[in-house]
Amino acid sequence: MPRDWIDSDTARALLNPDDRRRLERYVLADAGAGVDIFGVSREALGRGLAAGRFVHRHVLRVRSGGHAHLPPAGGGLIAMVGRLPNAAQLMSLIVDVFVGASTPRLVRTLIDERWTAAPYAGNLARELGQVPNLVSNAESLLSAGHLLGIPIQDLEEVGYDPAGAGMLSSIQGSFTLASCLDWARRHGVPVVPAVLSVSSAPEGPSAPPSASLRARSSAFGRRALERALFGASHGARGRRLEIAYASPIRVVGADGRDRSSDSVRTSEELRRALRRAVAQHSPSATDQAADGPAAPDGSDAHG
Amino acid sequence: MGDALTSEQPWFGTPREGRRRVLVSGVHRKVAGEFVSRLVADPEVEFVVGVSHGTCPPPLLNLDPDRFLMTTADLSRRDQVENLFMLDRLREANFDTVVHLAFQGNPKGYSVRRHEFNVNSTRWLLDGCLRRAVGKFIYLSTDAVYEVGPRSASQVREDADVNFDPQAHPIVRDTVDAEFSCRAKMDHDHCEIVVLRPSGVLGGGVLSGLNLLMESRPPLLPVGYDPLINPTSKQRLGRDLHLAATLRGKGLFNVAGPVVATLEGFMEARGISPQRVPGPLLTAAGRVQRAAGRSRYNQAFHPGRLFYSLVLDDARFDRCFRVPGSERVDRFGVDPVQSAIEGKRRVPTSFADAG
Repeated sequence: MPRDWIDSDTARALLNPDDRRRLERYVLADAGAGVDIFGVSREALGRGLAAGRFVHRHVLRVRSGGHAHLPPAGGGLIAMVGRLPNAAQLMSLIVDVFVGASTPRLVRTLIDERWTAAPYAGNLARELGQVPNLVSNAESLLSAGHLLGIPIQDLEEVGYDPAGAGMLSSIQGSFTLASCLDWARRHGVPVVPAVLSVSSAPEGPSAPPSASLRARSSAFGRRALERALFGASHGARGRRLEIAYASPIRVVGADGRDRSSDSVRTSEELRRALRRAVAQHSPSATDQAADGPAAPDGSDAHG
Repeated sequence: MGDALTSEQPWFGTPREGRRRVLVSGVHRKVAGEFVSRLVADPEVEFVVGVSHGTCPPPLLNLDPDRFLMTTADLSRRDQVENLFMLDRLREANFDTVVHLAFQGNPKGYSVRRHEFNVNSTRWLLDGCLRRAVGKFIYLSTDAVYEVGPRSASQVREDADVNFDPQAHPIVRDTVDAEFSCRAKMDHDHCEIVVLRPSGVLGGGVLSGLNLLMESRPPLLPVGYDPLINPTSKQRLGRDLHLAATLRGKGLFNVAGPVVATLEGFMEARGISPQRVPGPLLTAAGRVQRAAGRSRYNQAFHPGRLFYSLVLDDARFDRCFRVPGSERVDRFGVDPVQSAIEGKRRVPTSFADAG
């Protein structure tokens, strides 16, 4: 059965002690039989984390920062901007939040019917907290106090890159700024921009020949593996995924609460706020910090 | 959820006035045994009349004859339904609650006559209730009316898509027809009409899809799918029916069990080992299994059920009827009705014992 796609003991052995501790600290809202009402179990999460950690660390080689901006409890919208994530990038973002946030939290996303209808893949996605792409599911997740990750599709002018969307390209149909604003307003949750970008290849006059060769050879295997696993590669050889979590954007609630000066109330204001976040964490800025451990906003970095 | 479903009235969940005089149709159903036992044990119930097409079912034989009366009627015939409201017992006061459990849900041998029974019995009973100012009418529907597929909601609320597929099984269409007869009258001034959609009901001898599946030898499941379910039990459903009959409230409600788990998880907990077959072959394999007498579960009845999750969200029923600390609960203490039932009957201690 799909629950046994990785043996529990093997999965635990693949996790490092810190990840195992995080897994134990994860608060599962048990619905009576070891799974929550969306189907997530701690065992499945351990197996998913073991596989996702490998992709996160060795395939996409994620570098991230700004985890302090993620809400430690309660609902929240993780607005993925800057780049439309493919399956591997989405998985890496979920793992990154789980292992990077102060409290281990699972980002839930709305996935396409092709995944939920498929044998094994549907079970697997559900056990890892991903739900069918329905507005009612999004509202159920937010009202239950979960983190909902949504790719924002109408930010073309601020770095939206449809290339490389891969197998998940059709899931973003309903995720517009308007729906993001509406959900945030009605459920009173913050919008945390997760700026995704891919670092430039370490080639060029400044890169030593040996580094270029190493990147070229390792990238060949990585891209082949990525294509085999996820149907798409996230970029050219030698690149790595960068994720920066920007400051949360507060939305004026339906009852008028949270009327602070930096709260947004219209789609246009939200667009500007997201645009600022993307500009602040643009690929050029991250390139400058590529060799340094510091994250774009100075907080902790993982990868 | 739509506004119509969330705008519960403040009087929802308050006890109904007076003592109950209840008509229960379909008492041969297993859940009816639980429900009628609870009613008879409830001091707020004056008497209960059970209707069936046959003799009194064994679980109800030992009930107090002053409080429980068994009668026979063909509910598909309007004159016989009318006669139910003119029993000698009703000379002083008519029924104030009608609970309609009668439904011929066996796909084997389905015919036009069964269709007429399923739809017309609901219509005639409801019509009789409305004309005689009966205070409450409860119709027990099923979760098979929900459309199940890869795009289903993780938690199915009452306003989820109903299966209007013309290719759906005729029994499912009968249920939808009967349910819509009730929903069309739901705004009636005097009669509170309640439609309950239970998730799969587990319990010995229960003829629900999930229970028949679990009683198959072995249960056949599709390869690669393990849907989430939250089935209820006949005891819990009997209690929910009792609450719906004795407390005020009307509308459409899901009722479900408290535990959410995978289908295989429920089977493992009961020591049942399913047999996996490729999804496209499931219906054919089930047909062979039924022909061999190893199962009574029909996969064609609710095709997506074994593939995709169906977790009913019964928060609305909780809000309206299962309110802890409400007036009714205070008055009855912990659960005196359950205590009375358990005092008279052996309490099932395991799944094998249940029923």
